[in-house]
Amino acid sequence: MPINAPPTTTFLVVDDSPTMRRIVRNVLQDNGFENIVEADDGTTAIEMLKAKKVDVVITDWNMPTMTGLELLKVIRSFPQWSALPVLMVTSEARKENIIAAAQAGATGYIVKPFTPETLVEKLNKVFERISVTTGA
Amino acid sequence: MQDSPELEALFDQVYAELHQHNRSSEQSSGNIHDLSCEQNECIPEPYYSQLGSLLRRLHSTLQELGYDRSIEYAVGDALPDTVERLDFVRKVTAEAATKVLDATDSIKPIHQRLRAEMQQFAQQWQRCAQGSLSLEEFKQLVNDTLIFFQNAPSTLDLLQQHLTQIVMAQDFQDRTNQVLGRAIEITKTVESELVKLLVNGIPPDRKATINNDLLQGPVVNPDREGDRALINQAQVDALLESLGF
Repeated sequence: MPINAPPTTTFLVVDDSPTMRRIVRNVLQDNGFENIVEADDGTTAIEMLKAKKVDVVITDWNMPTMTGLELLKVIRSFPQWSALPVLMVTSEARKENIIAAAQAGATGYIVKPFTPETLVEKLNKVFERISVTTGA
Repeated sequence: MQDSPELEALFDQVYAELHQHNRSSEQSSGNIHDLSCEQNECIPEPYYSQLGSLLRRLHSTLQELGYDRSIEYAVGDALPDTVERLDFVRKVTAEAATKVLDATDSIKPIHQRLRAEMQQFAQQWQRCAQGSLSLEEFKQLVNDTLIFFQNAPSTLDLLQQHLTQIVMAQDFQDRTNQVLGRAIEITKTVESELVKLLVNGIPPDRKATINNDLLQGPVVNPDREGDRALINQAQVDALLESLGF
């Protein structure tokens, strides 16, 4: 199943683990996406968002200094990023995490460890939700 | 707890409610952020002070309870917790190794078959270039070559799948990193508590022979304790050595 997004889509992968960033980049590249930028923390991610047009953010939850949830809240506080798709990566599927992510404005979530198929599936759900919300 | 359709439905529900709410109150822009901020600001200052002094009392009480509690913590909670964490690391790394080895075991025969077939085609086409093939042999070679190329994409896709399996197996590093970090932290705390116990129980006749600087015991935050704390392994070693251990 392919990812239902144009091949020019730019992804920002935020994770303090270089291994996880490489894994996500690898899956995206396997699906034909080459426009992938990476940030190892939330502050760098915000700088990157300001400097470059990003279409989708995939962020880890557990990161030092700024958690993925805090990053999400910062992103949503900027009007220009109010509809930016953000996929949250959580290490456990706890109800409170899922609710907190959705309430803070996440567009989707994925639980670690995940397979490439699940990542594709979750990204497609993100694109579906965005098209429903924006009416695109 | 694993991901499930129920959780996905829960996410969908909260997401839908939130966006419904946003649509119905277009006037209030950035309300998600404002809400969370308001929640934080609702906690009054006296509450923080009360919480702080309560924590200070709890900390002091725990200290007054004596170091026997440290042993209880070390033996009862910290070490089993560390063992559990290390066991998790052992399990996850073993799983990752198995996944990688399984993938390479699957790749090898595909690689060998492709290599043998290509070698055979190279020889056949070499004979063809030299004009050594009969018309029938040539027709057969063209047909075989066509089939080989028609099958190549699915064979290469299979290789790609196994390579992805190897890449995905590396997530063990992310999964074990935090667990190992916590296990190291616990082990350091236990060591620190045990050294404190040791220092506290030094017989008076031995005390005189020991460098006074080593008697303060290691602490978690050396900055707060200044120069009097045992801050590194060399100093712990020196203390243990001076005590004859």
